[in-house]
Amino acid sequence: MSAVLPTSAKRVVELTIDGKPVRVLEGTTLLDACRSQNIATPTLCYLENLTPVNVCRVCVVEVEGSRTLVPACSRTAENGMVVQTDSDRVRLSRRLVLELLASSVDLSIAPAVSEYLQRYGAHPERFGLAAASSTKELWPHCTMAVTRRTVPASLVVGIGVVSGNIPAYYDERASSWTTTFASCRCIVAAGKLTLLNLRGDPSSLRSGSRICRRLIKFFFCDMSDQQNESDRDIGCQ
Amino acid sequence: MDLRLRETRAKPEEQAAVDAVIGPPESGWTGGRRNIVKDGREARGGHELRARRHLLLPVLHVVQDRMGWISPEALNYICQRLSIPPAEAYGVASFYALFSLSPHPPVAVHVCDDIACLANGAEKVCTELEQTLGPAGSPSKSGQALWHRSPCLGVCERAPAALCFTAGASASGQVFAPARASNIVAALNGSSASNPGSVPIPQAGDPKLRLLRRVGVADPTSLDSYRAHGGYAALRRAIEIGPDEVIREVNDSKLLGRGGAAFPIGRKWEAVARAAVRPHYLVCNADESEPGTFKDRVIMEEDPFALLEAMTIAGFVTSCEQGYIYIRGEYPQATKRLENALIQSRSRGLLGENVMGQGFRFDIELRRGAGAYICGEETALLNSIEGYRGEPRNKPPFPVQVGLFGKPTVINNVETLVNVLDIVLHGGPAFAAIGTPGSVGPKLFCVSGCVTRPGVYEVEFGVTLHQLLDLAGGVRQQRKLQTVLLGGAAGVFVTPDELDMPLTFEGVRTRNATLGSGVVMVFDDTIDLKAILLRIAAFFRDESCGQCVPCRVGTVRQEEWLHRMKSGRLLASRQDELTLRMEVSQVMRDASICGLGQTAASAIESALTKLKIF
Repeated sequence: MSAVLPTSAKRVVELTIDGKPVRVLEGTTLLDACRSQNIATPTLCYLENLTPVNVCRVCVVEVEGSRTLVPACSRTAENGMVVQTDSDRVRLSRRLVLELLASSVDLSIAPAVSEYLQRYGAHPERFGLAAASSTKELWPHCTMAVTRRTVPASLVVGIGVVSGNIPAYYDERASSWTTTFASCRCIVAAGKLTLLNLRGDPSSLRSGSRICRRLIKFFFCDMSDQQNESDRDIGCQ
Repeated sequence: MDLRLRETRAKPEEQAAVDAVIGPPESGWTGGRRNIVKDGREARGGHELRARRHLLLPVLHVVQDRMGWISPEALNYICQRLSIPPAEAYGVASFYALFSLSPHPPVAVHVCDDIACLANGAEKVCTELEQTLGPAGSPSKSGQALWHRSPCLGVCERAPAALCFTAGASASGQVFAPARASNIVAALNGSSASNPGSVPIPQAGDPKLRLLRRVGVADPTSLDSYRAHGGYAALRRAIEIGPDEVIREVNDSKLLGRGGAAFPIGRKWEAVARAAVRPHYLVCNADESEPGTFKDRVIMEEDPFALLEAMTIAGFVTSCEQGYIYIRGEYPQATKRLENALIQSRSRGLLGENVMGQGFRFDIELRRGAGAYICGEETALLNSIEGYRGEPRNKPPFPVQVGLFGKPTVINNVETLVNVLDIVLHGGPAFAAIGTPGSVGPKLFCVSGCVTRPGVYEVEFGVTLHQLLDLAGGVRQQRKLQTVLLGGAAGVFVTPDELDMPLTFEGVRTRNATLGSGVVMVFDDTIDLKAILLRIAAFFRDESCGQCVPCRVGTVRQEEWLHRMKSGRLLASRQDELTLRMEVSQVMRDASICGLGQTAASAIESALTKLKIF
């Protein structure tokens, strides 16, 4: 019988980030490699202890030879990779991602994002303030949150807990919306964090914001007993 | 974790439909009769239960087929049987357009108003239906039917198209093409079913055909007829020469994937054949949903055994014992033909434990999609087979490394696979001699829109767009050509000046175009291109899976932009508006997770720059 060998020590990979040679252990993500070099890389849906879901696309970097930009949070470093973290292409993508997000979601609960908005010179108002209400039928959260009864978790990016779409389901017996929080470890972590944050400082939510009201209800309905008649219909207001 | 389920019970017929797929409930825990003594001594869960998750879509399908909609009680029963949290199951069921989660009459009519049908009078059909049946989405006067507007149904050669699903003990799907409001209404009132119409293959019977040689010649419902026309000779030869030699031939053939990405198929096969992790899986991507594409449907309807033979070869070569065909839910006829072909092949030992008596095992399962364009993306398709929402995965890792159920997986398009038969029969070099050096082999093009003879055309790579249009009889009624959409909604518009473009991968690339899935959609000067662009934008907005920000929000902003330009109510100066659109296109192309977002702006961008719309 052959002896069980310990897994071999991790190899070192060498890559170039913004022109500087960088050595990291095999399996390191580009995000960690960037952070080891003190290169500020914005992240929204990334959380250290969760598997990256790479949906917010704000951490994208340019890798030579790749047709598209790649998400730094989930792409692992490879030998010989040449990475640009501050090219025009990267800056444009980050700015646009922030603008698109801010044009569709109330980010006032997310102080970190306003810093990003400034850093990348994002002007979400370019898409029109009235965009949300005038084209309600086009509103993605209506198809997601109302028609499809799911909440794109990027709605809660402000707290850094995006985890893909969270399917929601109306439970008549409990008269509340149920989500997968209870079924998925990853989402449990996300959900709890969100609730803590929302509960911690609900006054920071801008009043009158359609999406946030919906969100608060969405999360509170499930976890508390403060339901009233209007809560039953949160998806359809 | 305990599931929070409802106490309401599913109707007996809903339960029976579910049980027909996954068997009767084993105990009181899963919805069966409670037995205090027995149930108290049973522990089931973990991997054993989770391994059944992939049955979620088939089960949702049977309930939808039986009842016409999936009631909360039925969903509850499904959750109980498969141990899936209700929120998860709801998330999956609500992802797919063909599943209805609110009460729905037994008959659902999907009327295509996508681009090819729009150019062929779809709006007239819709208006007439509005007058006779009432507005889309509300039940008809009789309460028995409900009609919806639908994205492309893949019957563009006979546009405008409609598809009618009738739920019940014997559920059926029926295509109306060309659809007239009068015959849809007549069929809903129970008069004799209209003829689904034979598939017009303008070239049928041409001895020079390769991929389409049996189409319209052999009987697609008979294995004997397939064999009489040369069927299963390729599999026999593949077994003779062995897997390594087949891979060599495929590599020599330089065959590139026909699904749109043009990846060398030999490299995929090699990677999976050599992968140490077992088992391996083979998946045939038959979720042909690109607006304007219908070539795979024609192959599956008219030559289904060819696909099964090609898959068996692929399975043999890459050591897969299980293959899946993921067919789009809107193809009832192709589904029926493939089901029949599978039964016949199994009964003759061409699939199963001991294929052709040669000691290898291979079987194929047919999985139906449920109306999600995104599931044509390979990793979304894998998620869909596994019983999840069809959301694309991040790549790398690629499916050849981590694919279906996390195992090495070959995913090929229908047309790609069918090409393998000739490669095995006549050798890779002979195949590589067809076409041009960079694009080898025969290629199917789906010609639709304003042409005299729309249909699937097989040509060798290298013919020009002009020659192809001539083959299809040119623009109908001798009208003036306005533009051709190449590659579908994710493709590009080309101008009448570009008709000399050779239809090869390299030839279209030099013009910043793409062949995509082989769509050639012709628009004459009567067509309102603004309406076509708006439809394309609406299509992507609707079909975006919603995972990533650039695509989820970008597709909405793109459509809003088109509305603004059309109405003239701009938000800023014209120059700023143009910059805005360019930037949105770029972020979608650069930063989206998958091909949907990356190509969502391509057709619109080409129309704006080349055709100066707006």
